[in-house]
Amino acid sequence: MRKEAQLGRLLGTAGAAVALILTAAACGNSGGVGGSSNAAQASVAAGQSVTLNYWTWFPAQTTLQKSIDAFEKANPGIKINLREFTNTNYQTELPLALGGGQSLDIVGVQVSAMTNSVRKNLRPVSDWASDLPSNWQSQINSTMLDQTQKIAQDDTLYSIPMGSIGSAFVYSNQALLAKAGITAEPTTSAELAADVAKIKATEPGVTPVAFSGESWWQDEVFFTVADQIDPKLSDELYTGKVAWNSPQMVKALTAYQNLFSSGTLGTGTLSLKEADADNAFNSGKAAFLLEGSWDSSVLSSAYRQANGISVADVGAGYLPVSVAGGSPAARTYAEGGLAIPKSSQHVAQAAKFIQFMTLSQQGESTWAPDLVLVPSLNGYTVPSSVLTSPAAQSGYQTIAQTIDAGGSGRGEYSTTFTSDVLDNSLLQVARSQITPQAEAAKLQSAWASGRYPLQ
Amino acid sequence: MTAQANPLRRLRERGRDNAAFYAVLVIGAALWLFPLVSTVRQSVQFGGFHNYLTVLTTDYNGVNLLRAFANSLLIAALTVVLTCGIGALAGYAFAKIDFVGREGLYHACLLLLAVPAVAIMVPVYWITGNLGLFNSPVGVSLPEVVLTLPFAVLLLRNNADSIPDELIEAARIDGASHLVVFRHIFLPLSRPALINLAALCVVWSIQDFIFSSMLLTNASSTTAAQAVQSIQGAFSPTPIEHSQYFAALMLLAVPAIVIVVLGLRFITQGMTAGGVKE
Amino acid sequence: MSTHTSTVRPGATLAEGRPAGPATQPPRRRSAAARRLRRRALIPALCFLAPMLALYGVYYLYAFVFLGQTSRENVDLSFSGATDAGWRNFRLVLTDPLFWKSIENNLLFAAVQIAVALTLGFFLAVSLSSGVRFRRFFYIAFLLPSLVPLSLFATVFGQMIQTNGGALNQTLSDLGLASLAQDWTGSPTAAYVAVFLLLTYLIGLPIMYYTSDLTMVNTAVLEAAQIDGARTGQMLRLVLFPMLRTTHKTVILSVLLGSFRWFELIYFSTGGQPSGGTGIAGTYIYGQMFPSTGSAEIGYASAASVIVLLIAIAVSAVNVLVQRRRP
Repeated sequence: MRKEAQLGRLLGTAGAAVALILTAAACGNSGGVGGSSNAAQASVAAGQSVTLNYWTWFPAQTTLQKSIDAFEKANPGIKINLREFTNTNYQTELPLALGGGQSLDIVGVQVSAMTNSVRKNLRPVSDWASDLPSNWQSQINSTMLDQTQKIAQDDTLYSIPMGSIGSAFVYSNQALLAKAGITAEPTTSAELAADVAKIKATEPGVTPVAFSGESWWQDEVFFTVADQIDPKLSDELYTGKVAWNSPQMVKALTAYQNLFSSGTLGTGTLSLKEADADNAFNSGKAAFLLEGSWDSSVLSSAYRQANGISVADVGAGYLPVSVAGGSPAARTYAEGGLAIPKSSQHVAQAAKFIQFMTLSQQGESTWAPDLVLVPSLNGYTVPSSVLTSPAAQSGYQTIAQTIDAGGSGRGEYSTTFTSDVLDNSLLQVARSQITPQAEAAKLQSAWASGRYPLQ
Repeated sequence: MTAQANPLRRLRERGRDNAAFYAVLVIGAALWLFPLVSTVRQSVQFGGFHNYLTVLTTDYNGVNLLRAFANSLLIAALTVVLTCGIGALAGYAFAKIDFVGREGLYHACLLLLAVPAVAIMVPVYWITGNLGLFNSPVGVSLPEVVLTLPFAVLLLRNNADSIPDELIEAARIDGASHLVVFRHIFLPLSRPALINLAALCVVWSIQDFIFSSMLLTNASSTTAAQAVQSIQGAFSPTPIEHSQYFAALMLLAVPAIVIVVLGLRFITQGMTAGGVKE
Repeated sequence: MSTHTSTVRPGATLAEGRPAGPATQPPRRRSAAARRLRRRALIPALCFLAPMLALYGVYYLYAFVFLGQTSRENVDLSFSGATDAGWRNFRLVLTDPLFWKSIENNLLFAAVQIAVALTLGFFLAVSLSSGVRFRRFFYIAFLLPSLVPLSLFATVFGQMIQTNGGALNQTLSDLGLASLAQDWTGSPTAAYVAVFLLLTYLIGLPIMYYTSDLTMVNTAVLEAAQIDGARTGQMLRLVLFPMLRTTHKTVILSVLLGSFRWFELIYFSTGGQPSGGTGIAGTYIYGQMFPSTGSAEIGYASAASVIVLLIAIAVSAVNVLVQRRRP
C-alpha cells in the first residue's frame, strides 16, 4: 500500500514537472542568436489595430507619453507600447534583446554610443524610406543627418535623429543664487569658486554644485574643459592627431583637477548617480547642476510644475572656463535616433510613428517644448511661451548657441578605451590620487597598447 | 530549555558575561537590521506608506512587481524540480552503483563546484538562443540547475553514505531493479537531504540576476532579482518617486523574507539532519 | 553568481567526519570477476547519470569549447563577422593590471570574509546557541542579508554608502562621529572598508554552519573546564574553538568556493569603484561583455572567462584534494 502510494506520488510529481516545463517552454522565442535577418511583415486587415513595441531611454517617459497620446489619437489603428530604460541599462538591454530576436518595432538609438553595437540588427533607413515623404531628407538638419550616418562603421544611415544635444552645461537655482547674493551665471572657474564659497556660507545644507559621479559623465566634463583650450582637441585626441600625453592634454587634466582640489566641485558628489544629482537639484538641495543639454527641461516652468519640481526659477550657462585664455566650449552631436529593428513585423506603421516624431510640426510640438533636444526638423522653433523668466530665456539661448557653434563630436569615439581607461582614471585625477603628468603618460601608453583599436 | 540541558549556557553563567553576550547580540542585531530600517525609513520619507500601494499597483518600465514575484517563483519551482530530480538520479548512481570510472567522474563533477555564472555567460547566451529559449523560464532555469548540480550531487552522495549498502544489496539479491531500489529505498531515505536541497535551490534561484537579466528581455517575464535594476529607470529623480523606489526595493525583499522565515526550519534542520551521523 | 552567491556549501558540512571519497573503500586489487561486474554496472549507472550528463554536455563541455573558440576571435554580441585574433585576447587580458587587481581582490575578499566568519561568526553562533531569549529573532536578523537576493541587498548597501545623503554617513554624523564619515567609493581604502563591511553583513551562512554543528559537538566538556577554573574567554578560545576544527575547514572552503560566484555583491554596491579598485573577477568579465560605451567585445570577455574558469577549477581541485585526504 505505502509503496503504491509513493509510486503514485512520484509519478504525479514527474507529470507535474513535465507539464510545468512544457508550459514554461511554450513562452520562449523561436531560436537563433544574432537577430540579423529581416522579419516577415504581418498583414493587417482593415479595422484591425496594431501594437508597436517601442523601447528607448530618452526622452523621459512623461515627455514621450504626450507624443504617444497625440500619435495614437491621430492614428486610431496603432497603439504604442513604450518601455523606458536608464541610460546605462539600455546599452546592455537593447543589444541583448535584439540579438535574442525580441520583436521590437521602434527603438531609440543613442546615435553616438550605440549605433555600432546594434546596427547589425537594424533596418537601414533606406529600407523604409519609401514609407516616408519623398522629400524627407531636406526637412532634417543636414549636419545632424550626416553625423548619424558617419558614426556607423559602414557609413549607412540607420536612424533618424530627433535632434542634437551638447554637454556639459551648468544649470542654476535662481532663488538660492539670489539668497547668496550671486547676480550672474559664472563664466570662469574663479567666479564659480567664489559663488561656491558664498553658497557654502549662506546655505550650509545645500550642495553647491551637484553632478553625476557615474564614470561616463567624468569624460563629458573633462572634454568640455579640454575643448576650452581648443574646440577640436577631443576630436584630435581620438583621431590620433594629438597624443594623450601632449602638453595641451596635461594642461586640460591640470585644469580639471583644479576644479576639484580647489573645492569648487566636491569629490563627495562623485558617489552620486545622475538621477541622484538631478534629484538634489530638483528638490532645491543643490545650487548648481552640471548636466548635459538633455536636462534643459528644468528651464521650462510648465515641465517643472508637471513633474513636481519645487524650484521656482532656473537659469543656465556654459561650463565656466577653467583654463587661462580659453573660450567656452561644449561637445555636441546628433542624438535621439529613431530606428526600426529587423525583427519588426510592422515596418510601415513604425515608419509612420518616426515620421510623426521627427518630420511633423504636430509631433515636434509634443516633445520639443520640454527642451530635451535642439530639434532636427528644419524650421521648427520652440514656442517662446515655454521660457517664462529672463534667466531661463538667456540660459536656453546660451545653450542653443553653444550647440550651434559645433565643437568636437560628443561621444563620437565611444570606444571601450573611454569607458575602461579614461573614465576610471579621470576619477583618480579628480580625487588627486594621480598627477596630471602621470595620468597623461598612462593614457598614452594604454592608447598605444593595441588593446583599443580605433573604431 | 533549562540551563543544564544546554552546556553552552555555562559560558554566560556569570552576570557580567551574560550581559556581554546579550549586548553583542542586541547591538549586532541592530546593526544587521540597520539596512532594513534605513530602507523602510527612506521609503516613507516622502509620500508615506501609501508609496507601497502605489508601487504595487503601478507598472514600472512595463514591470509589475507581483508579476515579477510570480516569475521568480516559477523559475525557482522549475529549478527545484529539475535539480532534485536530476541530482537524485545522479546521486544514486554515484553512491550506490559501483561502476567503472565512478570516482573519476565524481571528482570531475566536483571540480565544477566553483564555476561562476559570469564565466559561462557568453556560451549560455549563445546556447539559449539556439535552443530557442530566450524569454522562457526554462532557458533561465537550465543554467541555474547546471550550476547547482555539482553541489546537489555532493550533498546527495554524502547523504547516501548513511544508507547502509547492505539494505540495497539485500534488495538487489531479492531481484529488485535499480529503478525499484532508487524509488523505494533511496528516495525515501534521502528525503531530508532533498528538502534541504530544495530549500537552497529556491534561495539560490531567486537570487539569480545574471541569467535572468541576460536571457529575459520581455518586461512581462522579468524576475524580482532583475527588477531591482530594470525598474530603476522608471522612477524620476523627484523626492516622492525616490521614496517610491525604496518602497519597491523593500517589496522586492518580501518574498525572500517570507521564504526565509517559513523555510528556515528546513534549511537548518536539513543541514543538521545531514550532518549527524547516526 | 547569482545562483550561488551564497557562501553556502552545506554539502561540505555534510561531508564532515566522513570521507567524500568512495562509499565503500574498494580493495586495492580487484578480482577479474569484480572488474567485470563493475564494467557491467556501467550501463545502468549511465542511465541514471544521463540527464545530468546531457546538461553538462551542453552547458559545460560545449560551453567550454565555445569559449575556447570565441576567445581567439574578435566578435561582438551578434556573433557574426568574427575575425581571427589568435592569442591576442589572452595576451591583453594577462597584461591588464585591472584584471590582476580583480583576481587579487577576489582572493582578498574571500580571506576577509573567512576571517570575520571564524571570529565574529563563531562568537555570534555560540551566543545564539547558548539558550538566549529571542533566539529566533536574532538568528533571522543575522541570516537575512545572506538570504535576500544579493542584487537587492547590495543595492541597498550601495545606497547606504553614498557620500552625500547616504544613511551611513548620515548616521555617523547624527552620532557625533562626523569625522568618520567617508567618501566611501572615492578613496581606495574607504572603499575596501565599505566592501569589508558588506562582507561582514553576509556571514549568515557560516553562522548557520556553526550553530548546526554546535548542537553536535560534545559541549559537556565545558563543565569540566569550568570546574578547572577556566574563564569564559578561555573556554571560547581554548575549548570550544578547537572543537569545531572541521567546521572551520568547512567555512573556509565554502567561502573560497563561493567567492568566485560573487558578482552582484560588487556590481550593485560599489560598482568596482574607485577606478576598478574594488572590482572582482565577475565584475571584470561583465564589464567587458557589457561596456558602458562601445560594443561588447565578446572575444576579450571570453578570454578573461577562460582564465577565471581555470582559476575557479583549480580552487575546486584543492577542495577535492583536501576533502579526499580526510581519514
